[in-house]
Amino acid sequence: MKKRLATLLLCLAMVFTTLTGCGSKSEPAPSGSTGDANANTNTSTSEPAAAPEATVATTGGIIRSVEGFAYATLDPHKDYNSWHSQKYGLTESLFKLGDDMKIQPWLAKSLEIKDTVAVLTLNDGVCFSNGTPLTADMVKRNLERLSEVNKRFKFYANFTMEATDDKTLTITMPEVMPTLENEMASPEACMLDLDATTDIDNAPISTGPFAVDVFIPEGDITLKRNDNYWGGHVNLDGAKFFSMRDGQSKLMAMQNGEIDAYDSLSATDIEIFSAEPDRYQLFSVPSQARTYMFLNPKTVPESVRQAVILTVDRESISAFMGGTVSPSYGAYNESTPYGKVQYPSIDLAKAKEIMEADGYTLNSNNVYEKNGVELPTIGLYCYAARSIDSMAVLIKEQLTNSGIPAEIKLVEDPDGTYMTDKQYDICFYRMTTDKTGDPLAFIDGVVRSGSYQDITGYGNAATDAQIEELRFTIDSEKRAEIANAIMQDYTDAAVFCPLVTYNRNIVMSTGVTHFAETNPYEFYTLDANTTAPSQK
Amino acid sequence: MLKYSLKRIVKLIPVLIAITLIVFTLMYLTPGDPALQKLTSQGGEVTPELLSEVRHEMGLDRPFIIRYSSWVLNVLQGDLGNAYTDDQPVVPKLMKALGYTASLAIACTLFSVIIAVPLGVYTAIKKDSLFDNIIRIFTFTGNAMPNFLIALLLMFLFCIKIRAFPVIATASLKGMFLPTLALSIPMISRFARQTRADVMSQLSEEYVIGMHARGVKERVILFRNVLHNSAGSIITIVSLQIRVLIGGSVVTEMIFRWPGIGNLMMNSITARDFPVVQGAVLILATLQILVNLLTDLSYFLIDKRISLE
Repeated sequence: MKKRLATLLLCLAMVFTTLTGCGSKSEPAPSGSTGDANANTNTSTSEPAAAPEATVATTGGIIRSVEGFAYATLDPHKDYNSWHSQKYGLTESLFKLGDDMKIQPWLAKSLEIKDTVAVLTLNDGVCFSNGTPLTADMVKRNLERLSEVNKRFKFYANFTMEATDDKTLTITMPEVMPTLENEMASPEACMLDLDATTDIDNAPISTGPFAVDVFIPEGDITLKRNDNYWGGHVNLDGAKFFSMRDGQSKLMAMQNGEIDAYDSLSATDIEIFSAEPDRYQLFSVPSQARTYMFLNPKTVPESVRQAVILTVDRESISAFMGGTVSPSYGAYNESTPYGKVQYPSIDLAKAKEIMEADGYTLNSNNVYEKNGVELPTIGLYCYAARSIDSMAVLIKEQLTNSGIPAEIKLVEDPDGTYMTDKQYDICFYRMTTDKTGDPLAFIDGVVRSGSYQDITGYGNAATDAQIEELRFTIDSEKRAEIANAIMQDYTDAAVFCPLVTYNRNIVMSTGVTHFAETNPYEFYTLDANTTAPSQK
Repeated sequence: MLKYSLKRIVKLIPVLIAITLIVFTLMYLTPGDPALQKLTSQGGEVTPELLSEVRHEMGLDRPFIIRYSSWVLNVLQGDLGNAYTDDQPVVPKLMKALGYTASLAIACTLFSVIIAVPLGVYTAIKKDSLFDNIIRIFTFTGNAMPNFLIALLLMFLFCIKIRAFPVIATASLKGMFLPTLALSIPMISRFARQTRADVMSQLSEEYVIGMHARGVKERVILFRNVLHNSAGSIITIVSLQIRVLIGGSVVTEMIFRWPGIGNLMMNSITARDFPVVQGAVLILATLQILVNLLTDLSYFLIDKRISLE
């Protein structure tokens, strides 16, 4: 009986092992390997990769990375798909934003704006991956399509566009739009060969150094070198991005040598990779995504708001978050001409001085009181995402220790209606404050009266007039001057407090280069110069 | 039995109508505006005018009853609508994901039953032996450990240490091994414990003692009588686990990149893609009811004394 049972168990285990242990290559692989034409890569997903020992950069080869979100279409004009396609080196916009956040020529050489007329000149020799040259007329058609399929860019529909010749597009606008060049630096302003592309969702033909080899909707994407790349020689043979959400799996895939680089590292990832500098290169650059606080002037007195702003210790928040964020003292990067308005760092003495000047004194419970009445507890309203709740906990501690009672109010409301309904004392919000290297978008969306995020009720006629002036000012120095003036007033009102900037943390195996590791924008990754590691 | 099955299926109709209403209402009441998510998923700014325009385009500004009735009418025609994220029909997406989830569920169930039932029987026969005690420790541990921990430990062991499998798995038979194992370990633990308890209970019954006294072979007693009589409760626990598996194991699917229904729902919930979530919940609820029906029928097939009515 014993023997028979044991034999039965053994046989069953063998059957299962046989069933699961073979034939993986002949099976369909919806999340990766089906039709993986890059069989020449050393990146087989069905076999474990060898541990990446000492590596050197070479030309050729395949780079492998991961994509944290599964998306169903590559159509770069729709939604935010171009943020991914541009990362892959599949699409390129008319202009690009450099590491210094300044606009640089890309597909377009220049844009000259004179009043309501703009003249766009294309760069020399730009062509699609099928060899077809990019013409001004194709740019016009692409911008028209973008305005039709993406509501955020519908303003292009109001333009009259005319291709003066193959390389020149004349754009007549209903009113002056100084930020047109910035808009054209958005990833969405990329160009497709609309005549040759037959499957825009899965295989758009574009201008980047790579072309689609295999795209699995909501799965992996395999790219091959664009041999017709207008920008010159492309180092890599191709690239592969695996769709992978789980952070631990990404970490283990990197440790196992199955991927060569990825971004959005957690604090734990940073700690692990930094322990092996021979194998991994770590880069950290502040992005343009910031978390900031709004302080409600209707429920929190001005002196308390000012004290709160001076009490927040961004450095310790940043330290607690293990390198995933950097302290932020302004809505924009201070290196930009329009980012000169920066908040002071923590100054507890000054905070106390402000409180005392307004009649508050610290009582025996270490809580400020005025006329014998304790300062009411301030509600810190937040939504538990992107570590905002952790920041709120730290801020609560900092405020409480300084005599300003605070409590966390976690709100299950991702749309932040409690903010727009002004039902808060202090609330938190995360936003990309500078998407295109210009201050208008943030000011227009947050400071202007009646704007979606004018939730503090700060908006006023004088500021609105300044914003309108900014909207139509072409001169960049003058724009910066106006933006700094607006932000100075906004800062002085003590209703807004920047907290942290999220870092673009990138890990790359030794040998990987040009992974956009120094660019603050997350929509750049691969380019023609990117190299992959190869075994010595 | 056919008549009974048809009657049960007819009775499903009001249940399904109630499910559609509950699903739609829950999605309607869930915080999170799909239009806002669509416009600001990368953190960009939005104007009230733009938000209102996109909400109108997505039909989100229509009254609840209009939206619900329109959705139900489409569902009756087999159309679960288009996804918000890519404007593609929901049905093929769900069917594809369901296929993967079903294959994982079948593999897990078979694997678990094949391992757990003999294990349960053997430990019942060898009650309190060293082997029994070892298996009890394993089943206690397997029951107590959360799935994500098992999945990560397996990944660490098989991918990083033994290097028998890649971390980046594909949806192939080989890629199925680790998620199957991760989901099976707790299932084996539960099934083995249940089988052990049932078999032990049967072994102490008078009919077993009587059969032993009459000199009936132990093998016959065990396979023809004891296991047969224990089958009901084993089927109950297996069907409960199948229902859990059909719902998709979000964490396991995410960790092993298994493109099943759990993964799809997680992506859709993150993107506030309500048509996909609604469709998935509706289909899963229907499947759960069908599994219930099959379970009831299996009781009858095993023991004809059980009345279907």
